[in-house]
Amino acid sequence: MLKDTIRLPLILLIVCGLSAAVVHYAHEIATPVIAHRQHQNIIMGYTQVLPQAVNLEDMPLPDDSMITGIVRSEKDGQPNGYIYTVTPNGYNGQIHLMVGISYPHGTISGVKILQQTETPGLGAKCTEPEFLSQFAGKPLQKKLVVKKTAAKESEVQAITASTVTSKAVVSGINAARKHYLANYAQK
Amino acid sequence: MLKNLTNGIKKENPLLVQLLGVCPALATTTALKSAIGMGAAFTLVLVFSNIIISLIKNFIPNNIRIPCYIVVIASLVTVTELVIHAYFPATYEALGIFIPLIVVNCIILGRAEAFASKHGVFSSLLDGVGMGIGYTLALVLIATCRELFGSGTLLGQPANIAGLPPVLFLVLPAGAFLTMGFLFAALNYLFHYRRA
Amino acid sequence: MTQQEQPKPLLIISSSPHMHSGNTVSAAMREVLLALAPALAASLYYFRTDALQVILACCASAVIAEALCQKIMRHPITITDCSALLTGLLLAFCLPPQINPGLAAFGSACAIVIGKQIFGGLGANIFNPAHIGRAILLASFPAQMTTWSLPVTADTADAVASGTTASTTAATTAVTASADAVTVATPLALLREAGRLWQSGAAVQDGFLPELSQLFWGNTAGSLGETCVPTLLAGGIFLIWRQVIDWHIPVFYIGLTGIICALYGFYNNFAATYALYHICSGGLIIGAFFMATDWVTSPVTKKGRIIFAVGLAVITSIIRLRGGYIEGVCYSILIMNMLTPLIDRYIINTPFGRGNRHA
Repeated sequence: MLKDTIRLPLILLIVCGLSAAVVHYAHEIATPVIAHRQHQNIIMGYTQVLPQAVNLEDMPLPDDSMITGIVRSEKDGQPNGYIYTVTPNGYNGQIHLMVGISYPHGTISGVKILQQTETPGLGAKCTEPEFLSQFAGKPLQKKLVVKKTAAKESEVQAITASTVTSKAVVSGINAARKHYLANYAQK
Repeated sequence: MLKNLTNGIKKENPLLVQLLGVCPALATTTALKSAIGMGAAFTLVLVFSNIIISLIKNFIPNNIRIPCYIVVIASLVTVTELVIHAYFPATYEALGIFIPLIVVNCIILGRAEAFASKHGVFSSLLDGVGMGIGYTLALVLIATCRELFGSGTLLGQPANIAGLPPVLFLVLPAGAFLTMGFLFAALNYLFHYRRA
Repeated sequence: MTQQEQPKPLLIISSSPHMHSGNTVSAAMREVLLALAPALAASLYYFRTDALQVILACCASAVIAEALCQKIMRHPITITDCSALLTGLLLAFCLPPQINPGLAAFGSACAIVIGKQIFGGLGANIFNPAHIGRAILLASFPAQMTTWSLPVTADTADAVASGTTASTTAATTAVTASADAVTVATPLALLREAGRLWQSGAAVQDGFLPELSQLFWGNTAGSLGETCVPTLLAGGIFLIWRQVIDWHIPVFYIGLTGIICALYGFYNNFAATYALYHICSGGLIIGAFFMATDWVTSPVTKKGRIIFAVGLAVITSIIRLRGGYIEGVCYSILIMNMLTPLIDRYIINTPFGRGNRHA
């Protein structure tokens, strides 16, 4: 019988090694599936927030901003829309969302939440169409503001009891709006 | 044999009687869907951890059993997380960070220590299934109350009983404690106090 | 504080038979109810049927909830001591007049069940039950709990004017009313908006803030029983005179809140009446006299009570001046309730015959 000082670490090593092998195997199988799905989600997201999206091309990113992606959609050599990916800080961490802006009208064509970790039942309601559908068609001339009861076109109805989340989403959209107006909008 | 199965559902229900695994119960019961997802993931991990630990129990020396159990459980949870992420993306979205937290769910280590390391494979399997079902049922019970009264929905569908306005408070963390407290009190009243 | 107090007999020890002084819980509760009567009259005068509905709903629900709880727990039923009635009335005084009476009744039942009975009933509760009810209502129904209306006695033209100025100037805040309902912002919300305007250097129009006298007499938007300052003061002074409550908590609480607000106003070059506005608006007066002085949830010793009141004032001021919520009285009282056992544990009077304070 081996001494305990050798035997115990050895057994622990075997257990850990086997476990690591199993995890590695699962990782090998799952990662491509996950990556594929995420890619699909992004492509689907593009057409959801900008129905006319075709011929996508990455645009240069501004420094020091919550904008993490800008894509231009072109048809017949003419841009017909821009899609921004923005990551404002929500209540529980970053919210990743996509904002579609149609060109040349300069209106929001759609908003989609890609990833969020907001409180289930409260802030997590930001993924529901009830909240998101209100953005479609909003013009960009005015900065959007969050209201408990939205009346004007530039006002956004907050999610009940989740003002922080609502404000975060709107701040992301406003960042996209500002960048769009400064760089791409028709004067 | 059957007793191993039913034990975890009523007499030694992990959440309602032993008060183990309270933390994920507080966090994942805001909606019925995430409670069911959590219960299923938990049961899966518990059954496999019970089987594996009862298989290797004779091979593991007593003084390093806890690290070995933890490694086994952590690997199982990681695999479960990867599987859910890859094949059940909706559940993954709903449960978020709570899947990795199954690792520290004390029921799993508790059953490994108290049951699987002392019993055969089949008994451990039954125990895992029973405990898993018991935990899931308890989560479903709490989540039903919280979702129905807190958001006025059930499984995401509007289910407004008698036109009551949703009591948002129940969906907040404090509401989780209150719901659990009142639920445990009601069950104790039904099963113990009234008979006494 | 007076340093040189006349020595008084500290304790009179006598052998039995003892005579009951007549001071019972229910007698004290009745005195508090009596002290609240003027405020009750004021709220009925200002908010009429709205007030009547909410107050009746709260009181009835509190008494029924208490009786039911005690029946289920097989405790003696003590609804005749009026403590549940008092909790219901105090909760009603902290609610907006237009709240649905059903919701008010729900909050009142929560106040009794969660705030009081599950801790073991009267005397065992950690938190002020009425404020527990209010906190639960505020967390559950944020929209209904922050919709305010002007008293029926207020000038309608005024109401429309202040309503519209509020919604145009306060475009960035979430406190303003929607266009259709006759709802307005509370004086505290207007005060915060005014503060923001002053800070940005803009002028505040006349009539944006309510007149200080209107605020004092309670002819403004606000919770049912908190708006009319003189009635609350009268009730509070009555209770101090009857030795039901002691003066330390209200005086230190209101005084220090006023001082902090005055310093803040002075530092930011606000109008000179800034601190007075803060004292007269919101739930500060009712909170200081009727909520913070609750026997069960406030410290026992004089020193402890002063620390308690200082804590209340600091937390209230921080929430009011810098916080996300507009009103801080409710939360500050709940937070300090939580610290009461700690204060009682560490702030104790020197036992008789020890120490050399009076050497």
